[in-house]
Amino acid sequence: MRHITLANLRTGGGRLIAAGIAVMVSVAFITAVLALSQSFNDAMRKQAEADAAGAQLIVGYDSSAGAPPEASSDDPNAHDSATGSDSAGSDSAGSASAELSTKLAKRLGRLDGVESAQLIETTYAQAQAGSAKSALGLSTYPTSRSMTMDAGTTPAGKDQIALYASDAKTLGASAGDRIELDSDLGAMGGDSAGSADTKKDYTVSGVISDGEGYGTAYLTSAGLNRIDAGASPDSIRLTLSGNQAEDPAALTAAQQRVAHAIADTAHGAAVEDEGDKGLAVAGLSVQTNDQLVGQKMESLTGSSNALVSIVLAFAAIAIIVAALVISNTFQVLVASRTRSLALMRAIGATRGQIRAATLAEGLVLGVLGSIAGLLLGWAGAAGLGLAAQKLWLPSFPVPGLPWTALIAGPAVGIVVTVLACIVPARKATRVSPIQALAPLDVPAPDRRFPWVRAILGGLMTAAGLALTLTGALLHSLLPAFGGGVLAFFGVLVLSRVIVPPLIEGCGRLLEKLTGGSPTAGLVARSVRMAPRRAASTTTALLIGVTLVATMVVGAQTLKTTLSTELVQRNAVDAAATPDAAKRAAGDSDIVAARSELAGASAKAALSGEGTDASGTTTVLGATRDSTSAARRGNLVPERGEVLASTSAIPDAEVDEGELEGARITLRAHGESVLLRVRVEQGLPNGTVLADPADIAPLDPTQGNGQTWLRIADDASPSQVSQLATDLQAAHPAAEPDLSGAMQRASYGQIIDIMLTIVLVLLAASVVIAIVGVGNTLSMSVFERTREAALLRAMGMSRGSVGALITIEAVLMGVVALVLGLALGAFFGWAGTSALLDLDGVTVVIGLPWLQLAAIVAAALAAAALASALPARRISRIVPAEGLTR
Amino acid sequence: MTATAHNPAYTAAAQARDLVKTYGAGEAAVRPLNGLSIDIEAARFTAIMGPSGSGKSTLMHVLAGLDVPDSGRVSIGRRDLTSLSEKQLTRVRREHVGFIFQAFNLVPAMTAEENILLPSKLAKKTVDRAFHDRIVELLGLRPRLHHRPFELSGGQQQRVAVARALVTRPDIIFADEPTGNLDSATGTEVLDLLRAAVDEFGQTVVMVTHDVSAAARADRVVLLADGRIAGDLIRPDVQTLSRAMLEVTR
Ligand SMILES: Nc1ncnc2c1ncn2[C@@H]1O[C@H](COP(=O)(O)OP(=O)(O)OP(=O)(O)O)[C@@H](O)[C@H]1O
Ligand SMILES: [Mg+2]
Repeated sequence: MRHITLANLRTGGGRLIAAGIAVMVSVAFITAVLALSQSFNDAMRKQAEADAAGAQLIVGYDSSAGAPPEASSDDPNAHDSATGSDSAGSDSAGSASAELSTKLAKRLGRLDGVESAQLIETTYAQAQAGSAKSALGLSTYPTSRSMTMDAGTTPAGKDQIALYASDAKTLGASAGDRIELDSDLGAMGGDSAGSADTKKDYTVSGVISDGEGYGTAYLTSAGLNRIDAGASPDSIRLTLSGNQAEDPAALTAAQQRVAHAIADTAHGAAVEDEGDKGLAVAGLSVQTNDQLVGQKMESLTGSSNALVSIVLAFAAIAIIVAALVISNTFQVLVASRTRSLALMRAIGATRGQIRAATLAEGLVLGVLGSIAGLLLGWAGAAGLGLAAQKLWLPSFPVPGLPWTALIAGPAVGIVVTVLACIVPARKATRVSPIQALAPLDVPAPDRRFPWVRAILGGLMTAAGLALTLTGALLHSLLPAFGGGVLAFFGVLVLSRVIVPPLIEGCGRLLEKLTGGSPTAGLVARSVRMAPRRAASTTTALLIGVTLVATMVVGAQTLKTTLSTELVQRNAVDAAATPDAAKRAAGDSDIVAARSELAGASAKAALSGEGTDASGTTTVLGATRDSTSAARRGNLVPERGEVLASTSAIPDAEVDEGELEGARITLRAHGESVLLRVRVEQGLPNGTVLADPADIAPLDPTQGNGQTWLRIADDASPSQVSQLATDLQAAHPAAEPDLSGAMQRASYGQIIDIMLTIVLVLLAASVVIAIVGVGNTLSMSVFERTREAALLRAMGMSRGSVGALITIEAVLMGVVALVLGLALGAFFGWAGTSALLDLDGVTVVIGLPWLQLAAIVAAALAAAALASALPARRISRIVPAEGLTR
Repeated sequence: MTATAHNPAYTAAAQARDLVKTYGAGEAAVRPLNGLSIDIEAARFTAIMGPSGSGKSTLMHVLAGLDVPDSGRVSIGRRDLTSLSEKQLTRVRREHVGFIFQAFNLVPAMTAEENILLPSKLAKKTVDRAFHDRIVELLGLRPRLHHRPFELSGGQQQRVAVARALVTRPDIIFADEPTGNLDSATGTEVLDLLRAAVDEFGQTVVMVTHDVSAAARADRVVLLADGRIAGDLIRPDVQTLSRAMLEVTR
């Protein structure tokens, strides 16, 4: 058997390279993911340890567990609600609890054996130094933790702040510099740009060495309270006297003392032992240093495991594609070896030996591919790790090769390779000794119609599509996802039935179009000779196209749907006074359209059932033309009608039910008009729309009217935010409402980022698919040497012989595109529809034409590229040599 | 019908001068063509014989423009093949040369009919339908036209290859052991066809064969040995041929 395997490897050699690459890329993917997640965990552990360092016991305010104990409360029931799961962290309770926590810390500090107790509070602020801005977490400086300072000192005064080196770099600040903190993080979009009383100045006392953390700045307790009196308590750090920490029994005793002291202040709440997580009392945890780090790591591992499983799902896709490529390779190898296998059978090799030889060949391939993949994955992870170190977290450790990757990578690689060989190995055993004698000049095509596949695949596809549709219509993710997977595998099973006729059809069409080109005709006919090969190659491409199309259509559908929804709520992207619009948005390149509405400021009085609200509003004359910059076309009032939202009169909010059909009197310049209200909630606040003729008596002018802007769909959140600031600055009294545009931009950005990540993760599968296509094509060149030589002898030109391969590849690409784009569009829409469970929202499919065109171009280019070398090789065959082979 | 090699008025369908072709180098070098010159007369049936490895196939490939010699000149009709580009060579093959090989003559994906029409399609020439039908009829291929090669017997495949070589009326047909795989009855059939191509359609046929009785159907038999011409016989009978062959092989 070893002889057979070795002989096989010798003849298969070159043709196994692509299959080897497929194994390698999949194993590399798995290895890199596992190695990186290990490094990530290590980095997080380091940070958790650094955070906890110096304190022997930590009393933790678990933000999810509820409010802290109300030490001085006289209400005996108070702590019951505190230990409950309802979080009572409202603003007013915040400052009260801060006070209580301070008291608690003081009290714990006086306990026997406790050396010090420090309350640590945290909050967030926007930091600004010069023009550089960065959002920072703020924390009380933990005096018991020793930090390595790159420069300067730890914060001591109430206007001092210490920054991590990387944050200092972002802000361009160094020790001694002044920075400004703004506790109003909402200073974005349409809101005010931050008022003076939320801003405080600080001096950078020192820069903390990276390697312990980033994103947080430290202040003294007083300093923290200057910027935010309601900072939330995070923990109380305790140091113990003597060396109690070294003695486990003493440490446990101290822990118990602290817990019971807390219980006393909380009117005798029970102390619960939560094992590894330490003690819990009255919604607080009392943990040793080790317990805290352990718990932090556990919760982190939970979420990083979730992330890793999602990423590994993409690895699974890559593995499926790789399995197809491997199986394909071996099918072709076995077919090309029919004669020599038959010869071996004729001279006495048993079926078992033939099968074992083929499987052993797969095993060798799997082992070699896995080793290469392990190294490649490790190198890739190390590269990414170094990049993370440079760009993100200087303490990020360069990934090693964790044992999980060392085992899982090769295990998956080898098992998948051997499994993929099973069907070809069975085929190899079916070769009968007689075949050694039969002339092999004219191969008979595989002509059986694959009934089992047709029926099974048809049922799977139909059931899967129905289930997906149901899930989409009921907005339920599970059936949609399960149905999608089922339908997709159904199509893969069906591919052997539908793909070859489709390619042949395309080829014949091309033959017709080119006026009977023998090359196109021959391509169409050749598909029948090797339908299996054509099908599985197309399938590899199909998987890639479908997944990518699903993602881009899904993302676009989500954008379109959210956008439609936003347009319902805000029919106008931005409304501003004509003056402000001219000054601030005159040359803005994110303004896609603008329209000017003449208007007048009017006193409005409502009269209707139960309403008699009145106040000032701006009435605008609206025509189809003057509202053209709105996102909707239905903002044109009829004669006698006024369009108004429930906040049309800023000082008097009215109920929607009362507003509809109410009468409104608008008064200006001593004139008045009486109109009927139709509710239109998408209008800017404080405005109503009426027919220009109806409000002519009120003397509307351009100057008193509004300018409506339409913001370009691809504007980024920061551009929108900038425009908001500019409009605000140009007309401080007005409040430009850009929330619609802002939300559209933010959603768009998030969706784009997610899409990019998903596409990057899919890249491995796509690479394997393309390698697979190139592989199949070059193997078909091996098989078709004689045919090519014959055609050349008959007078077919070099170019035409090469075109046989290229056209075949492109036709496979076309078929994969047709099927993949159709499936992807459906899956993308269905997935989004299943995900979005919003009342009354209809999910409208969004087709990103540009991206879809890019998929088409990329798939065809990939097919052409994959065929380049094989086509060249086949066109270089010297007729005389090819014929004598 | 009266022209012979000794008649100064003869026309050469193909000509080779001082052909040299070497495979390999040094000790392992083989030289299947070693300064060989030959004229192939038009409208004649020429057979090439010789021991295995004597360079028969190589000579035919070079004559037909399927391979290029290391040195020497080859021409078909008035065209000097050795000066042609790959593209021009392909066109010459397509328009002036027909082939019949020992095996693997047909494109597997195409039906018999499509195989027969392939050269004219490649040359973008319209087929003489009447002539085509006559040949198909003559070869008894009518009921097999829409079958693909794997559905045909070896003899039937060979007949399709002959039909293909005849239909475009090439100036010269090369056949490398066309009867090698066939039983004697079918072999005789194929030889009859080649004879008919010369006698009835005035085509030139060059055939490589190991079979003395097959060679005896030719107008002229050229014997090869060690890359050179070792004998040239006009209409030899089977006995003469056998004796000459024995001599060459010795
Ligand atoms: N591509 C090649 N590479 C190396 N040597 C070759 C090649 N083709 C032919 N030869 C050698 O050239 C010599 C002549 O080969 P050729 O095929 O012309 O012989 P032949 O007379 O047709 O023999 P046969 O009667 O067996 O078909 C042989 O020794 C052969 O080994
Ligand atoms: Mg030969």
